[in-house]
Amino acid sequence: MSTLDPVIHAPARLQIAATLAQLPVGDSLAFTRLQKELSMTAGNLSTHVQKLENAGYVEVTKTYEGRSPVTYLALSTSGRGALETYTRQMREILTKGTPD
Amino acid sequence: MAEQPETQKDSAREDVMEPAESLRILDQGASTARNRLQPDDRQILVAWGSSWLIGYILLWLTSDANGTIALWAFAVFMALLISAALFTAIHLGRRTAGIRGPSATSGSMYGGAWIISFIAVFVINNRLAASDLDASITAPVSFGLPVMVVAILYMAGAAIYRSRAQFVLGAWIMGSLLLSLFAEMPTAYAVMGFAGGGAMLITALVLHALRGRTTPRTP
Repeated sequence: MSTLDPVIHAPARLQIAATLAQLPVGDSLAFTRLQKELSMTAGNLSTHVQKLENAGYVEVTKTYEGRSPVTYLALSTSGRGALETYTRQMREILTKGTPD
Repeated sequence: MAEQPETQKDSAREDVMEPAESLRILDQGASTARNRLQPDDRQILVAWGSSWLIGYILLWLTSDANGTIALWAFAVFMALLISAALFTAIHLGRRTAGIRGPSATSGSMYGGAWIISFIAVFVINNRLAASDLDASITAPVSFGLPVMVVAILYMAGAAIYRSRAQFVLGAWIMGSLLLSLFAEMPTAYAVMGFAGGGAMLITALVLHALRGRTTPRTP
């Protein structure tokens, strides 16, 4: 029996991953836009994004638009894989009671 | 530090997240994306469909036998189209704010294609109106040109976004245009209002019905 990924298995980080997963591959979302959509504080979002980034699940790109710094976030390939695995495990728990 | 209480609370919650709640969060991610991070084709189609329907019917009711349009009716028609264009621009701006990457690039180019094409239509139609050509020639050409541009851009856009519904709509509009040109000129406006504007509204309805039946896409 495999354990659930502790990086993904947290409400806030799951929300972040689930939202970023909906973007087409190659697209990224501005930090401020994600913050607005998830109604999180910047500090809270930043903490969870860092955990996801440390696990290699989220790619963080810092750039400038004009003179303003902007941070873009995207789910990495391993992040998408981890989310798929997690989703499958959740469905198995709900139907069978234990993840395989 | 201010962040600590939030992460501590969150850590405590982490251990007790039930599978049902996880799946709810996953579904919510999908619906957030659909309702807020992507353009809503239904709204755009309703804006343009109703502009076409009302606008072309007005032109039909107020034009002469050649299809020459009264200035006031043309002004109302243009106001309707400009309103739809403004709505589309604002809607797209809001939904796609903060997104960058290939989809943003495609979107900008596609939007640019619409703008450039309609500037060209405007210039060509103005030149036609200023020419010595008879109204029996200029009216159908001025009528058909923008509609053909719309049909082509819908079909090309369908190829970009891989939307079968959009392709069918574009092809239908092209077919309706050809059909309307076999009619006497004023009647052509009526055909385009109902067949063109109507088709957009029906497509919006179809997309709405399909949306209701699709479960949110979880990875």
